[in-house]
Amino acid sequence: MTRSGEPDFSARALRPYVITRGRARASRNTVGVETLLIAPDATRELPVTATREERALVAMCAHLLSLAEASAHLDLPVSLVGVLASDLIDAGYLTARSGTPKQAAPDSQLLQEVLHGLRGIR
Amino acid sequence: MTSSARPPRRSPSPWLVGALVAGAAAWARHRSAAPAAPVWQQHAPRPAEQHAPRPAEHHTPRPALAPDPRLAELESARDQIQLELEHLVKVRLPAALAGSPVPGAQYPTDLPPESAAALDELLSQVTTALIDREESRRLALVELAGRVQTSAHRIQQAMSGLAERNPGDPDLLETTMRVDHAATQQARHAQSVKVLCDEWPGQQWPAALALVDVVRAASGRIVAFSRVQVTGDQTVAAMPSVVEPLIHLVAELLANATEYSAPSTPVAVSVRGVQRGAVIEIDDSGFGLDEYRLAEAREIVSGRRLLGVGDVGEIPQTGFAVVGRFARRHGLTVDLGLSPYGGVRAVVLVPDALVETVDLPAPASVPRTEPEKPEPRPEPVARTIDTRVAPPADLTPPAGLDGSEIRLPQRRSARRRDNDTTDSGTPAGRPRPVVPTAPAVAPDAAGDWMERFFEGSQPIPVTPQPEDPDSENTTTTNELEGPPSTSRKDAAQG
Repeated sequence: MTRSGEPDFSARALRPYVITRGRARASRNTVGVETLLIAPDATRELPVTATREERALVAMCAHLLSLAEASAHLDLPVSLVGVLASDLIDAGYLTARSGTPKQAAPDSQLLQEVLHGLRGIR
Repeated sequence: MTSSARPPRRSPSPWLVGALVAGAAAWARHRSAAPAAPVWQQHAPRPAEQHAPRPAEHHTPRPALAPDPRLAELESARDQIQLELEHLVKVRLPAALAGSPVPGAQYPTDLPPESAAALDELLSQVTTALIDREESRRLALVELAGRVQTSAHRIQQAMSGLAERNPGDPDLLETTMRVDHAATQQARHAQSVKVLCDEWPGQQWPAALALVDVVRAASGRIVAFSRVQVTGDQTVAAMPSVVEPLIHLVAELLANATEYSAPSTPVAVSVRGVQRGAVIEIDDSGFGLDEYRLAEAREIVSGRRLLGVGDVGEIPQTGFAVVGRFARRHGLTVDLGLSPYGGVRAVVLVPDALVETVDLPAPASVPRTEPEKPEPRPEPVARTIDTRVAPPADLTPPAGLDGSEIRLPQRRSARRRDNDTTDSGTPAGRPRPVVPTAPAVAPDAAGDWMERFFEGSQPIPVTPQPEDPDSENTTTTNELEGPPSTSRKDAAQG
């Protein structure tokens, strides 16, 4: 039985290094939090070795979804989902649309207004 | 000896001889429990003269034809005791040391009662001392193993926090993964010691876990986790009560499989539902086990022969012994055989009572344009063996065009969640991300707003009202319902 004084270890059974097969880096550095993912062909069968997270990721990307949201749905850190998404993009199961084209980044004027609006919420 | 040190003033008289004889007999009875030197020698025919004191020493040799009956009695008692002592050393004591039932005396009726009692007392003392020592050693081991396991878990907690506090640092993440991996193995070894000491894991997982994930979790507890390849049914799951035992059991089998096959070869694991439950098969492509070792290993992994912490000599036996203990305790059937890949195939059968079905983790689904019947999902449903992965139900687009206005993802508290938020489709035990719901739109349309949003200065057409791109009075959307009347959206990027 758990002894008193033992920390409440409620971590996951699946450790992060297992989920990413030991990798901490995405195979492509273009995948960021705001990257939009979409499965070009949702009916395409994944390989038999695909994990449950990968299957779920492709399934939810039947509609355009940002990496951040996919992470929230999967309940996994963004860094891990980025690695998985990169693999799936490499294998052609997902397509990435860059979220923020550099030239179209919101200018400080807009950000100021956003800030103003946010303050108005309270 | 008790003979007086003073020289006798008279020659020994007959009554003294008689007293000596009686004393010797009593001495022999009293000393019967003490092991005498000849006991450890081979049982060889002994000369008549032995260590028993010969009170007739001072006499002329006695005639062989007329032995003193008391002397004969004495000798016979001595021989009996000798026989019993040998039986004690060769049979009864080894049994007591091995912890098996101790047989009784060989000829209890021929033995003087005091001697028999003394022998029994000796054995009971040995047994008690053994049991006490075993138990205190067991408790000490359990305590020490528990400390090691606790420290491993502390390391893991510290590491996970570190990576989460510093997002976007792959080097740090990689380091934490390595430390996590090492700590996970440390925890497994510590838990193995506990299990061999008849102590069971305190870890309880809150929800059922798909068997493919049980195998992956198990692979995380061995060194060569990347060699493990899992395929098979994605929806068969283990009940929460056996998740931890199964993970540990499979980890030990995977450890054997990876250690006894070439480092470059994969270890193939397949999962499938069967009539009697679910099966996990683990194949390695090593050299396998010879017939004798395989038979012995099968005895151990099945739990038919339980090994404790004192019985595991060789390294491979540690894993097998742990497997066997878990198998027996939780009613799992484990067997070993030859693999078609040349190595060993380990088969774990999880009985139907411990198996349930889970869905793929899919985001919350919402009714689309025509409301579908919501499917209430009770916890475990009757299992159907279906290896096809069903596509999940409709997915919520992250945000949609509500008629013509846009709603960005919003944080909502559960208290204030209104009834349009559905919460089906997430497996029990997982925290659900709350998704704002909106009528679904075509995927490209769902993407369009986002692209337009990132184009920043571009206004978004809102059908009912003419746009006012230069509008300064930016009214913000109501937390829950209010349609935005502004052309610019607040960035609520998570």
